[in-house]
Amino acid sequence: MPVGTEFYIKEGMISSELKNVDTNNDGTLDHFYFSIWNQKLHAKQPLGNIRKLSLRIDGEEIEPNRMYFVIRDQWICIEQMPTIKDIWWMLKEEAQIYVKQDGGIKPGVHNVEINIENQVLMYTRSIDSKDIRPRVTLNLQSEMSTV
Amino acid sequence: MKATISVGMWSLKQYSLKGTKTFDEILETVAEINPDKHIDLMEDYVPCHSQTDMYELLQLKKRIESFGLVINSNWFYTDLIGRVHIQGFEYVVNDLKEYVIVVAALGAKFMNTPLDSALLPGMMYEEAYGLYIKIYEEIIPFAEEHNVIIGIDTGLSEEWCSPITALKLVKDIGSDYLTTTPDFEAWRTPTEDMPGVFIETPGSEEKTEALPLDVFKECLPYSPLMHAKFLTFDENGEEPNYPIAEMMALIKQSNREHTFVIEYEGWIPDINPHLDPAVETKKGIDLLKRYLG
Repeated sequence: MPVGTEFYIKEGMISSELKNVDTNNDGTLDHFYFSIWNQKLHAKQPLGNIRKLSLRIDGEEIEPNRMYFVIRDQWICIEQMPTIKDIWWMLKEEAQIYVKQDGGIKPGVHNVEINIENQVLMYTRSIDSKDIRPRVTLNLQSEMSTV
Repeated sequence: MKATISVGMWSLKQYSLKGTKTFDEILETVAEINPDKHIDLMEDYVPCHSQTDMYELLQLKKRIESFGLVINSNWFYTDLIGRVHIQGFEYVVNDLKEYVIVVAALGAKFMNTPLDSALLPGMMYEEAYGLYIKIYEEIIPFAEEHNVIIGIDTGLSEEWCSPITALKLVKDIGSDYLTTTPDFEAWRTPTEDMPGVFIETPGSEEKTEALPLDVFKECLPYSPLMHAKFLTFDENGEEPNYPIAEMMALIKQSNREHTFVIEYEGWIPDINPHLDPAVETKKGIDLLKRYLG
């Protein structure tokens, strides 16, 4: 395969489980989530260099204002993620993608597709707010079981 | 010509990304395969972001030394042109000064900073070159104060990013604390499977050819450190992508001491991800030892 096409090790980058949770302990499921690991070849970066993250579950697009990137117990709404300069995602570090949904997700197997547009301003202590560098798009798909 | 071999953590990074070896196990592997015991760290393994954690840094140094390893150099990438454009000149200077302190605290001799930073639309070579001169004029006295030698790392040539530019910068600054770190990649012969594109350049259509060996020869007096990028090895343990024999012959004639940082890159998904990076890195060490005698 010619070089210059793959910028991640995709295998094992997302979990195979969707977990329902009651985040405010009121006795009702209110979110579901799955895990994602930083397997970018040049890994460390401020979260803001993920310029766009989109998610489809069973073919349905999830609205960005219902999605959160959770890292070291810090919840960042996907809509605001391009503004984050001082929280870095480290090499092979686990994060979770939470989706707000009353009652959680129904039991069974679900098709999960995630697209990440990442700036290539690797390691640099800036986020590419002026879009001066190209983006790399990562597409990950998995059949995930609800637990 | 005296030579030392250092293993770049980039060579073994697949273990970290796949989670098949811990950091300590990787250090143990380097200690086993590299008789010279030198190691090159990249910032993925250094507690320097978003700000440096000095306690963790000193713990890291102790941990690496406990495996009998010597930290030879650190690799830090910053998109200098991009960061200046987005935030400002003083931010870049402060970042680089902080990295100099990190390198000094780790007890390493060299800090590598790649030249690679694409020109902005409408930006001319002279403007970028002038910016780099201004940056190094700020950094070099600081590096000297902390006894850290800066190497400008340049691999495959694209636009203005080339060992030729690095050499010009080093000659113009004229300090022993600013050197070139030529990467073998600049002399790679492109093939159909491995065209002349840089792996971190997404969708780049620009293809480049190997530089003349005369440029390699001209770099040698300014290159205490070199990046021995290896992609594949044949059945005889030779690297078919470079004119290795000719390059090594020039190195053997060199009057200065050189350290070779092995950057085995065949582990990336586009090349040979199924091969064991440690076995392949060892082939790189053996190749250099064989040629250097």
